Amino acid sequence: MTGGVDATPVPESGQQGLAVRWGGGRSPWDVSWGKLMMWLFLISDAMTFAALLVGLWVTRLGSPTWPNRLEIINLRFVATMTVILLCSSTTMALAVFAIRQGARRQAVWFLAATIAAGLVFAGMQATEWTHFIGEGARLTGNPWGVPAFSFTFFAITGLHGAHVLGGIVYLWIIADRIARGLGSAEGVEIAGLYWGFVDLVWVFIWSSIYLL
Amino acid sequence: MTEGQPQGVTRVLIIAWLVLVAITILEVSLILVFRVAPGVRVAALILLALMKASLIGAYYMNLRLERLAMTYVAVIPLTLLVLMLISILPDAASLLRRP
Repeated sequence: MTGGVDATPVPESGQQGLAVRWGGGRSPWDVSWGKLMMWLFLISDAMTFAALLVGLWVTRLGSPTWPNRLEIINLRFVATMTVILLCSSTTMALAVFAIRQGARRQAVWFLAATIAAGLVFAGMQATEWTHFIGEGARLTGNPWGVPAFSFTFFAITGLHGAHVLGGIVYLWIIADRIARGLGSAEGVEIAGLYWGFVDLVWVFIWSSIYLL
Repeated sequence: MTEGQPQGVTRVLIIAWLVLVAITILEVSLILVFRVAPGVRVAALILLALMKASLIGAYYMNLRLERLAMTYVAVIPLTLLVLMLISILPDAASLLRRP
């Protein structure tokens, strides 16, 4: 048994690499405060959506009946909304990449495409809500006899829609600043995190409300 | 963060988009086209949703390029969230058995 310290050099990828990774110091995550704050906001926002989705599932599993969504909602229409949101996430990622390359003008165009896709998504969601309300759905009741069905639908898709509208305004401001030569690449990247999150949350809303 | 060649990154993002669209089409097909057992359909839809979420996190939120510690900041709370979801299942099951 030896009590001494092992002086064998450790490769960067081994113990030392781990120490560097977890060493703390001035910037343990190697990201700016703005980006870290956005991540913390997104995680707390994810908890809000999670609470709503958990509420939906507890209510739904505890309900003796649950309306057949396929008879009420046009699944192909909502699938198109989903694809449009995926398109907007791609153009957003391309905008982030363009600004990092210094192509500001290209970044503005990609941001404009993202805003346009976001507006189409919001418009389609408004159309879907109009149809749903036209069928008799309200926050407190609906013709299918399960009030929680329409309540959870409006609450969850409404909160997500508010995020989309907020994101459109956010991206508009960022695009305007980039176009005027004011914004930074990191500002676009942080906005990209927000928009990616809006798409990420929709994956679970799409699955929970429309598919499962 | 590091980045690759411009054409390479664009290509990767387009491929990620195509995969995400393909998964969405498969999800809709599981409801409208294919006749599968409900249990299999639910399992497949959950798996496909997790695949989509991973792709969006990795490629659109750039988690694949971040330091591992940063990825943990995002992934650990979401893992705990999944555990919380699993923990409510017994309650949900007892609600189901309620007369």
